[in-house]
Amino acid sequence: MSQHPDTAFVPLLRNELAPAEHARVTAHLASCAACARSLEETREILARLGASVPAPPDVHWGAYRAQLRERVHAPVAIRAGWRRVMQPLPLALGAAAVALLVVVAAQTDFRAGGPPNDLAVFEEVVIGDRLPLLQQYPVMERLDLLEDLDIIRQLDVLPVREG
Amino acid sequence: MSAATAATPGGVAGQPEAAPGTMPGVEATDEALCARAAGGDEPAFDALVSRYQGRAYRLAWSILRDAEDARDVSQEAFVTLYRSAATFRGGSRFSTWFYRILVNRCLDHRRRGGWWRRLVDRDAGDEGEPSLTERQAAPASDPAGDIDKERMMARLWTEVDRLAPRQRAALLLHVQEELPASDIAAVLGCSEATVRVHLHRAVQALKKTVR
Repeated sequence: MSQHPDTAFVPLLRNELAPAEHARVTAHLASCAACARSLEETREILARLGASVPAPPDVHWGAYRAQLRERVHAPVAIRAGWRRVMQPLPLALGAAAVALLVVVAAQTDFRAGGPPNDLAVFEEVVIGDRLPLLQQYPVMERLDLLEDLDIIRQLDVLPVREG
Repeated sequence: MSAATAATPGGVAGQPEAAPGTMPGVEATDEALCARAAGGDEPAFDALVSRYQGRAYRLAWSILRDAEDARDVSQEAFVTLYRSAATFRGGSRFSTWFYRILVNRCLDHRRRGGWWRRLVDRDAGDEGEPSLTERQAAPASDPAGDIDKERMMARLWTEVDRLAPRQRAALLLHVQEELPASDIAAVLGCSEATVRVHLHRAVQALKKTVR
């Protein structure tokens, strides 16, 4: 067998392999030390797990059966849908998420349509309109930025460059 | 006391009890009870619940690791059994069919979340429920080596909790319920080869903990 039969180890330990496969795997194990070691580790792990299965918390079986009887005889629609939807925490989380979305949406609208953006558009229009005029003023060579509208608004009264 | 006896009142989980309506000394098979439950025979359904409630709750708890969820999901599985008993055609054993309902419910529950409940209950659960270490059977003797052994077991089961859901379900069905690979395949709705891969990968992951 060219491949290591790793996935056959658990069924081999349970004696669940068909005779032909069992023979193949055991033949491989006889000649492959790594697989033989791996099989022993698998055996050890399963034995440890089997010997230490944790016990669940105790149940009051009378209450369990009474609750089960109620659920068995509850109308289907109420049983399935309502219980799932009416969990208090998902409801609260859902409401919080909706509220958050509303706030975010309101702020986004405010930013998109509010004065700051309008002002930026206004500045661009004004500067764009006056660009040919601006090019004629020497003062513009000394300005680093065109955003100072106060200066731009005064451009009409500044001396025009000659020549 | 084993996990099985602890989870079932009056004896070992899964041991057949005398079903109502049967002759004294003659126990109805699960399949026969299921057929009667499909016809609306409530005592037959009750008998099935009595036989399987311990195992159902224990397996659900092993997968979900939450007592309330385990109670809820195992009850859901019984409700499904009650309503769909007529769909059991006898192509497999009743136990395999019922385990399939139960395990699917558990995996659905994990997928759906319940994350919010775990988040909220984590503190309360930590106070109210003993840890995995405390849940394991006490060692017969108490030499110093047993403490290391207990720690190792706790680490091992913690690692089991970290396995992928289907790997974990396959491993629990193998180790805890002692189902053969063919039955695990029927429960998980996959091929036997896939079950072998699940088990192999689960064991490989656990080996790293032991080393």
